[in-house]
Amino acid sequence: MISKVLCIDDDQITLVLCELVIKKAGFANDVVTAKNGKEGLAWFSSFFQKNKGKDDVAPQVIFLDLNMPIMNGWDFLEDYLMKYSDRLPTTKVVIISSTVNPEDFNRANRYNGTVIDFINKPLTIEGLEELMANEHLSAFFGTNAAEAATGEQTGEL
Amino acid sequence: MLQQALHILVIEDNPGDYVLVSEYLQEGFPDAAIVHAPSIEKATPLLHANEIDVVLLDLTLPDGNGIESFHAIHGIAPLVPIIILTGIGDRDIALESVKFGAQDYIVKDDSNPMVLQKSIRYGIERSKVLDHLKKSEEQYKFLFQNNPLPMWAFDQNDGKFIMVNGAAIRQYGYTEEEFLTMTIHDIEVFVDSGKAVSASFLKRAVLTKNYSSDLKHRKKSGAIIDVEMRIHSIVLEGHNAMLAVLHDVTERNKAKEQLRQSEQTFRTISENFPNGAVAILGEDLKVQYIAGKEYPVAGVTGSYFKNKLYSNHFTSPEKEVITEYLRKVFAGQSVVFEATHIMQSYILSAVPLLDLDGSIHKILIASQNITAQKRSETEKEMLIEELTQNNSDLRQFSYITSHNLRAPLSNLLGIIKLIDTSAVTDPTTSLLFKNFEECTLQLNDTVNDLINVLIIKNNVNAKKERLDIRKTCDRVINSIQTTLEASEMTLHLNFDEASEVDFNRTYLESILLNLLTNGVKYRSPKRKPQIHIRTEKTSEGFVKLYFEDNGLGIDLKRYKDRIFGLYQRFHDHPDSKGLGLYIVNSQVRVMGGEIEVESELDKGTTFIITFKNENYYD
Repeated sequence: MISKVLCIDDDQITLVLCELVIKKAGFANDVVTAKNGKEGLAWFSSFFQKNKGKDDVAPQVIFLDLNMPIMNGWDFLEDYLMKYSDRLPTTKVVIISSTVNPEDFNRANRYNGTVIDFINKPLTIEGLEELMANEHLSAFFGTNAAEAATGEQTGEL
Repeated sequence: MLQQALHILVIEDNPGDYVLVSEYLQEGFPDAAIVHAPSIEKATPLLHANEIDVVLLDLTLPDGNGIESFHAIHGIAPLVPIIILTGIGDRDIALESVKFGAQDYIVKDDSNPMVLQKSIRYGIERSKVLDHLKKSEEQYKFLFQNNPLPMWAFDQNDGKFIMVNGAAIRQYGYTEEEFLTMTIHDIEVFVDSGKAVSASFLKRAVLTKNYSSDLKHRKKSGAIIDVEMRIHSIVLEGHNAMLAVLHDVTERNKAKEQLRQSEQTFRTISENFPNGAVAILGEDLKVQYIAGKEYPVAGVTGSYFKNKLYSNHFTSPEKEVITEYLRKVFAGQSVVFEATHIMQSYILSAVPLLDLDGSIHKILIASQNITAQKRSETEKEMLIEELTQNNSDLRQFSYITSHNLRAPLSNLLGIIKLIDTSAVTDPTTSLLFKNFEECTLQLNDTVNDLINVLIIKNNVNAKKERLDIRKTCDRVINSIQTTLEASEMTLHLNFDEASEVDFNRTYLESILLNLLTNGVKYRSPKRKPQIHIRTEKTSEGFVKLYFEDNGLGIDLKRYKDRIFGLYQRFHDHPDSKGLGLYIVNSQVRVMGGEIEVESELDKGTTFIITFKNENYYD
C-alpha cells in the first residue's frame, strides 16, 4: 500500500469522495489535500523547509485536477517539475479531471514519465484497482490486492 | 589617223584596173596593206582570216556576176564594209548593192585617189556605227525578251498589243499570237465600270511619261491578279506606244491584308481588354501603343500615355519599382507584379516581344484594375478570421460548459457508488435512493452522448490506422455477447472480399456497436433477428460495408432527410435517444467516408458504409 497521496482539487466534495474511495480501496494510508495548484506547491515547499524529508513522508502519488482557480493543474505541474520532481523521483502524478477538451489529453502525453495516467472523474474503486496495476505503482502493492486485504484484516483484528 | 595599218582587199579580175586602184590606194593610205584577189573563190579564205578592214569589189568576176558577187562576199563577211567598183554602165546594179548593205560605189573611170580615200574612210566609219546600232538593238531585244518581269508594248491610241515578252506570256497564259490580237483593255478588270479608269490612267501616263498604278488583270485562266503597271511612252515603229513593266503584287497585297486583319484582331482584343489596358513599350520604356477598357490612371484616354514613360504617372517609390520590373522584361524575363495608384490596385503582367533573331526591342504589358477583387478578398479574409474566432470561442465555451456539467455529475456518481443502500432500513428512503441513482445514471448517459458528439465534430484529426474489420467486429460482438444472446440474434459475417480499412479504431468500434445494438433494439417481434455483415470492394479500390438486418425497418419516405439527424427517433423504444445514427454518421464523415441507408417497413434496414482507403493497394 502507498503510504501517502496528495489530492489537489478545488471541489471540496470531490476531495471528500477521493479520500473515501482511496481509503476504501486500500490504495493509501494517508491522504493529504490541497485546494489549488498554489496550495499544492506550498505543501511541498513546507515539506522541504521544515522537515527536510526526515520526519514526514512525501506522497508517492499526486491526484491532480486541471480546472482550478488561482493556479490550475498545468501551472502546478510546470512549477512542480521545475522545483521538486528531481528530489522526488518516485512520486508520480495522476490527472483526474472532467475535461472533454482533446487538447488536455494531448498535453498530458507530453509529461509522460511523471504523469502516469489520466482518469476521468469520478475516481472509483475500479479505477484505483487499475491504477494499482500500473507499472510505476505495482511495487507498492506486492502480490496486489492480497496484501492489502491482509493489511485490512490485521487492522480489524 | 588610223592607229593600225589598214588591210584592204581588192577583188578585181582585170589586172589593169587593179594596178590603177592599188596605185590610188597607196597614195591615199601609204601604210595600208593591199591584198589582191582575182575571184570570189580566192577572196574567200582571205575574208575568213578576219583581217580585212574593207573590201573593194568589182561586180564582174569570173565566178560571180553583178549583185550576186556582192551577196556572196557580204554573206562571208557581213561586218566588213564593202565598196563597189563599177563601170559607167553598171550604175544601177551598184545602187542596188548599196540598198542591200554596200557602203558606197565608185565609178572606176571617175575615180581618183581623193575620191577613193574619202569613200573608204566614210565606209569604215559608217560600218562601225551600223554595227553598233545593230548590236544595241539586239541587246535591247534581249533585255526585253528575257526580262524576268512581264513586259509589253501597246498602242497608245487603241491599246493594241505591239509586242510582249516571254515572262508576260508565262504569267498571263496567252500565246504571243493571242496577245497580238488583243488590246490592253481585254485583260483589265475594272473595279468600277467602263474603261474610265484605264483611259484616265493612260492620260496620266502620257502626261507624266513614267507612271505606275495598281490595277487588276485577268489571266487567260480567269484568275485575277493584282499588278503594279509601270509605263513609259515610246515611239515604236512609227506609233505612239506605251512600254509597260508589270509587277504581280497579289501575294504582297495578300500579306498586307493578313497583316491588316491580324492588326485589327490585336486591336479588338486590346481595346476590349476588361478592367485594364494592353500596351507596347519600346526600349526607352515609353508607350508606343496602348488600348483597353480601363487605363492605369483614372479618367484619361489612351493618348495620355502615348510616347510617355509607362511609369510616368506613378509616384515614387512605385515608379522605380515598375522601372526595375520593366528592365527585367527587356532582359528576357516575364514578370507579374502589383502596383497602386491613387487608392486603386493594379496587377501588371509583362512579357518580352522577341524579334526573329531573339533580340528584345519591345515588350507587351497588360494592366488590370484589381481594386474590387482585392477589397472582396480582404473582406472574405476578415470574415473567415471572424468565423474562425467565433468557432474557436464556441468550442472553448462548449468545453467549459461540458466540464462544469460533468464536474458535479461525477461527484454524484462517486457518491452513489459509495452509498451502501443495504444500510438504509426505511423502504421509502431506499426506493428514493434507487430512483436517485437511476436519474443520475440517465443524466450521465445523456451528458456523455452529447460530449461524444461534440468531440467527434471537433476532432477532425482523429488518428487513422489500418484495421482488420473481422477482428474489430469480433471484439465488439464479444463485448455485447449477453445482449445478443438474450435477443436470440443470429449473425452472418463475410469479409472475404475485403477485410482491411483505414479508419479510427474507436470510431469503427463505436459504429459497429451502435449498429449492432440498433439491430437488437429494433428487431421485429414477428421473426428471429438476423444480421448480415459483409464487405465489398469497389472499382475505385474503396471498401463498402453492408450491414443488413431483418428488423422493423424505417419509413424512408417520411424520414429520409432526418435519419442521421440529431435527436431523431423513429420508434417508440425506451432506450432510444435519437443519437446513435447521428454519431455513426458523424464518425463516418469525419473520416472521409460515406453512409447510405436502404430500408423497407417490416422487412429490415441496410446500412452501407463506404470507407475511402487512401492507400489500399500499398
